[in-house]
Amino acid sequence: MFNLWQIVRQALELLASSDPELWGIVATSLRVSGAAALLAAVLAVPLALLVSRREYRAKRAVIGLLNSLMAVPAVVIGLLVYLLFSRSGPLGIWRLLYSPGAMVTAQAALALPLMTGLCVAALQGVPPLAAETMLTLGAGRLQVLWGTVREARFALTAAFIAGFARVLGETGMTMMVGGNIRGETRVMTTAIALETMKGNFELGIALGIVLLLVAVAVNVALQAVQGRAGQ
Amino acid sequence: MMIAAGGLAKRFAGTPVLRDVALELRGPGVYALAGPNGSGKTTLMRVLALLLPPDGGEVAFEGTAVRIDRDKARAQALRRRMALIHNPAVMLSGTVAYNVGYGLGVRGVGNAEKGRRVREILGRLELDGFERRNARRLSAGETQRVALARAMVLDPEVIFLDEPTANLDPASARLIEAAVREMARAGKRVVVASHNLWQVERIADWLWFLDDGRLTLSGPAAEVLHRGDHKVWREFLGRDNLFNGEITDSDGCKLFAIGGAKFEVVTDLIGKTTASLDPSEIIISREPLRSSARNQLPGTVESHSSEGGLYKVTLDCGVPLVAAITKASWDEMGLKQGETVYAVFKASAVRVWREE
Repeated sequence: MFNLWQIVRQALELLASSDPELWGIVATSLRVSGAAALLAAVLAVPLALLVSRREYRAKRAVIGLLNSLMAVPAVVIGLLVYLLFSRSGPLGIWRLLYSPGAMVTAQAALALPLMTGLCVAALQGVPPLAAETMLTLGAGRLQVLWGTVREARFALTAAFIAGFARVLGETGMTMMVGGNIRGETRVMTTAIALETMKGNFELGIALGIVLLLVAVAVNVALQAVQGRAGQ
Repeated sequence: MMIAAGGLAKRFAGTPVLRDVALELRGPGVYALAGPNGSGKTTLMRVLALLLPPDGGEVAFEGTAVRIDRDKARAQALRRRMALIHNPAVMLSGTVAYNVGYGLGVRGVGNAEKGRRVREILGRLELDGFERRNARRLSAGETQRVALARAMVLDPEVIFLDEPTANLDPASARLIEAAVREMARAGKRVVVASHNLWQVERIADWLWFLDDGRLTLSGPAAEVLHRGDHKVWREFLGRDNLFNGEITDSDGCKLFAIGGAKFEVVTDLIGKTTASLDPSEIIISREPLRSSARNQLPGTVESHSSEGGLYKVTLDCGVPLVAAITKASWDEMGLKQGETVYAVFKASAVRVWREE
């Protein structure tokens, strides 16, 4: 029977020390998930603009498709990205498997439907006459598009944060395509899974605390931004 | 910028909204687009402002027809010489300064110059110190004034205002009407959609009447309103305080008699005439007022109804007289049915014309 208090104390000591491995893992986590969320956002916003701008017959079908894509299990995305980047896969030549690149790709693919869905909702929350108001004030086509994005900025930021939170906590898929290589592709979730299996609890708990704190911080930010978006 | 439209037609979901509308904006001035709600005023303005393509007909600027979908660059350049203010106006998310500076920003005006012009225009519309206010947290009157500032700062040649004073407090309404007249004097073409004929009479040089998508009347405002085309007044708003009576001369004073009431008017006419009085020109007073107003009719409070932020109080002064007062006045005075009050108004507030 292990002593829980002792392990927690050791974990806290580990956090207090500037343990390079621990903070390296945290940094990789934030970098990979941050890049994935950014990549997804870069694709999601224009997609959402395309989906939400006009009324067309297939609009409901497109939004329905987006919603169903949100239900695709992460592990399936992991499998697809694995096949894509594996040696004999179509993009095997890029040698991205077991690299942060593969992790960013998989996480971005996971976040994309969720983010696009939230971005569509964000843009639909912009008053319908806002675009016409910009037009009559002399804005050109691109300026109106940009202005519309700006109108939705708080709700769009909330979408970004929600996507980031989703991928930051992803484990299995990240392990599949990243490989959990120490110092390279080891992130908080995969490290916790590994250390727990190894019985190496203090590092696991230390990382767990960081992950929890980041998750809480992100959620607080999300609430704050959603509060502003609702104004 | 001269605008001419011909054969304009527009349908929404199969329902015709505009039918064969032809009109011209020649010289500077205030063009009133009057008509009941749902007659197509907003749609017509959006078509003229190149925001909505018509299903039929064309809009020509300086003699050349423009199609929004085909001549995109030209449409965009022309839009930059016009402005349209919706009702209620939509504020962009951000401060008042952001909103008023938006049009300058998209034209590439620098920040210093932008700030200066924004401050100047806000001052002209009595919005000093509003720069940093959240534009989405303004009263209706302030919102409409900011929208006007946002358009005026661009110095457009043509400006379209959709019911600019609907549901506004009288002070904001008066400020906006004054700004409209001022723009016309400064050589702009100002198109104002309104279903308030009193307002049209106050500010318009030219009047178009839109009825169920058709332009049924067009002409100089004074002429159309006063050529005795009683129908215009009866059919649309302004049914209140419309009297058929007789004017007599009493030592140079012209007295208009109707039912048991008599009041002074300013006119050269004598005999059978029609008179109208804007309900918002009437002051209700509990005591007789010592003022320059020539008319002071005692009466009793008959009934009241609220309409667009205003209270319409019907007084029995020998003839039913409707006075429009603000909710604040109504609450403060605490008028009761049957109470004796005085209806005070200037002789010059009464419009008189002869039915033909």
